[in-house]
Amino acid sequence: MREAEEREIFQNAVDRRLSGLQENPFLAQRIMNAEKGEIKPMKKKLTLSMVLVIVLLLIAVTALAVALLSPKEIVEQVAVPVAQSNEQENYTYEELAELIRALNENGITLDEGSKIMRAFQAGHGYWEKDAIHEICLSAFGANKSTWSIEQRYWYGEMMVAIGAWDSNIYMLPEGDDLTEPEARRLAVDALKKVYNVDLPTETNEEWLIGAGFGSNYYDEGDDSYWIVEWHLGFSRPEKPDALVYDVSFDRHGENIQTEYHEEQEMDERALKLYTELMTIASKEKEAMEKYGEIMYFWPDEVKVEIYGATGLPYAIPEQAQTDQAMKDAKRFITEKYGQDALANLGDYQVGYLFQKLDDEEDIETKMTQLMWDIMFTTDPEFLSDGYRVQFQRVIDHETGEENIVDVIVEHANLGSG
Amino acid sequence: MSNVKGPDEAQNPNFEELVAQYQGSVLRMCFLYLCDKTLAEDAVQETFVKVYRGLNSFHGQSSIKTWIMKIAIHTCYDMNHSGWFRHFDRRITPEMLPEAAVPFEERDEELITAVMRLPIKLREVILLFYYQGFSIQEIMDSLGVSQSTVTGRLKRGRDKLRGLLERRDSDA
Repeated sequence: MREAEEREIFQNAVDRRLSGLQENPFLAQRIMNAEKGEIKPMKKKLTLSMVLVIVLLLIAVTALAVALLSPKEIVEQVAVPVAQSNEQENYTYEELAELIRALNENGITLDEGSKIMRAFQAGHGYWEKDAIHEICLSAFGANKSTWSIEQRYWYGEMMVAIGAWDSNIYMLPEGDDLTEPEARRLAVDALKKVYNVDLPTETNEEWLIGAGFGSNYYDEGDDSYWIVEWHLGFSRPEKPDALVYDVSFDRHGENIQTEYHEEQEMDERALKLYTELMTIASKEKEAMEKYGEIMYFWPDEVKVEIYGATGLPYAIPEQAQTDQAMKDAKRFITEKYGQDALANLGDYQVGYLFQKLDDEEDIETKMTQLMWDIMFTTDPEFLSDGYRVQFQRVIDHETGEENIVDVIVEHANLGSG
Repeated sequence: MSNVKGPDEAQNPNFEELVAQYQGSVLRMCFLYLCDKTLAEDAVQETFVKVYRGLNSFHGQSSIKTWIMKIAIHTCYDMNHSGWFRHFDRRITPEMLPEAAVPFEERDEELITAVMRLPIKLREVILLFYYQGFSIQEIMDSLGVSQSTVTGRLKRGRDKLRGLLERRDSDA
């Protein structure tokens, strides 16, 4: 479409849809009169009560000026507005610097070894949702299960505000919902009934208790559904991430489900596997030191040697397979993120993981599956930008058909948040 | 534009004519820039105060429309960068738009909200180019940026608008 036509469409659309904006018929006259001094700006008489209000306001403003901002306030006043004002899902280096400066000026320092600080020190930007997540971990506790329901709810609101989540999965109980003390009591009673254990309702030296309230999604095939429920986890303080008991029930205390996660002794087979994994871990560490932390960018031979030893079908792709996979991956990125997504990324690098399941000789299947996991980023050290594409090319040797299945295209960060 | 007279001759109807001629267009542009009706009305008033005060120094280096819109866009820019405004929640929904006074098409509303969702740097270029009909050179002069910046932002803004509209069209 020619520019003139586009302009006409644009102008007509604006003029029609915004036709309700009311012009001020007296604007010119008012300005002229005001500028000539005929109409002075209205000066209000100061009453005693207004003076009092002004004094109180001044006191409040002064107090705000000297009070340090909390991490929550910095997220609300700096991290979220900056995230909302840019067009990407990651902070640029400059924006990240602004955020870290705001934290530092308010006496908040993030762990130098954290991913956000390492990205910053290396001159990179960082994912907005991961940055806010790390600030929250620093403010509310490194173990998310210990966050209060209010903290979780607030965190969810921030995620929604920056567009990382469509809606807040965390909620606050209201109306007929069980209160948190009621939920804790119910959970402890249920575990007593099912497992005959005496557990506390509050965290103590022996038990760490986390309570969450919000909507959970249950994937039951055709009967998938959302439910608002309480979820309480009981773990040991020394192993906070390893749940021992957990209980969930709906917002009214119905449909109680309990679970006990047994702390099993390692059997001989597990021990052998553990030893193998430790060997692999040692080789992995060497590779990380030599080629960087992100294995996508390691040489093919190293990936095959290390991860092939875990029993996974890591392989070295043929050049033609790689060329085709890159072409497919770029197409998927373009389809999801637009024609210029990769161009806008700039001077990116490509790394990948490749596995090959070859059942050509298998009488029943006679298929080859080429599994690709490809990373496009300008930052192979921290993956602070770019795209990740995963898919399988399935070759049916009986029919000769080739199909691409299980395509996932997403932003390149591997972080949580 | 030699017939435009300044504050010394404030009784001259030309200022009123300018306001009558451009107020609507400035108001709609400010609304699209600031995404807020009250702020847009403030911006319009401030723009025309500056126009009134500046009429004596306007020597026709550009068209009067270009000059007014340049003042308007700078006024919006200043308001957008004020500390207060930065803390507004500016998520855009069609419900934020004022009631229309004339019939409109669904596509009009989709285009308006898509424009309002653009990052500000892309939005201002799109507004000047498409709504005010500015040339690339006029946008460069108005915003004080290079040609490559204007064309780059214009392309990105145009792509984003097309993408949004295309997606919605195909959804429908």
